[in-house]
Amino acid sequence: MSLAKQALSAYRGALRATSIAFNNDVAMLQAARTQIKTKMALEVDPDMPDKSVEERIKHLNDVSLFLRRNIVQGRKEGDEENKYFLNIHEDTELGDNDDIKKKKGKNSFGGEMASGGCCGGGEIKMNERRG
Amino acid sequence: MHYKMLRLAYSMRNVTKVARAVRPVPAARMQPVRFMNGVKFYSSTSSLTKEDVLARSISVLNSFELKVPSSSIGMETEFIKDLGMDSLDYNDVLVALEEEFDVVFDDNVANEIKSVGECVDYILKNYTPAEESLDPEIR
Repeated sequence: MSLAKQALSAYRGALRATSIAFNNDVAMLQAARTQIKTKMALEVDPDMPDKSVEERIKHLNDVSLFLRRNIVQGRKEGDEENKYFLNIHEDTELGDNDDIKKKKGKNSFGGEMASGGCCGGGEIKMNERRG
Repeated sequence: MHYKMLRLAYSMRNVTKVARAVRPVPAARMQPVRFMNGVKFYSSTSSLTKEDVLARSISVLNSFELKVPSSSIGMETEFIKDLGMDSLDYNDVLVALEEEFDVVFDDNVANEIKSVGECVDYILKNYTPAEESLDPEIR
């Protein structure tokens, strides 16, 4: 694929990502798309003047991925204070915290590595709070 | 909900236009912004005709700044040559059409598309009818 086609493909990907991340927020959607388009049209991006076209395409693809996976908008609903509804969608990255629960290997001193926090060696018990 | 108000405002301002159209133009199109969210305001149909797709594609195009009147847009109309768009503009159109018809233009196809007709044909080939049991407002 030529560079121009790669750039346009990344552009389409970014537009699609904005509609996933900001589906019900027209103002944000519009602002994000305008920003993306403005930067696409620039020969040199003043925010990253040293980046090559290839690097800028990769950057845009990374932005798209970030928008899809790591942006979750919240919307306050009703009169209840501090209660927000989160727009978690199928692309949202949902960590299971497995790496925190897992016991780490031995350190260079032959001892067990701390599995987290300041207590050292202790296994962290994950207690889910429900309520 | 705000979109219902828009829909009302739209229907009042465009009574004649709606009457002429094959189906009411989605309310989202009346806003002066180029992109709207993916919410659809039309009812789902189990099949689409070429005329349907063309009419709806033209109403999508209407939400963009066009150098020609939308009445002159047909299957042969080319985005860059006839509508005076640049490559970013017509990719905006492609994504807006994707949102309108719930299809995704394959990269290889999208890079080669030049005319409205090519879009219409692609949409007809790749459109999956919405499940009847699903409320389109919820989708």
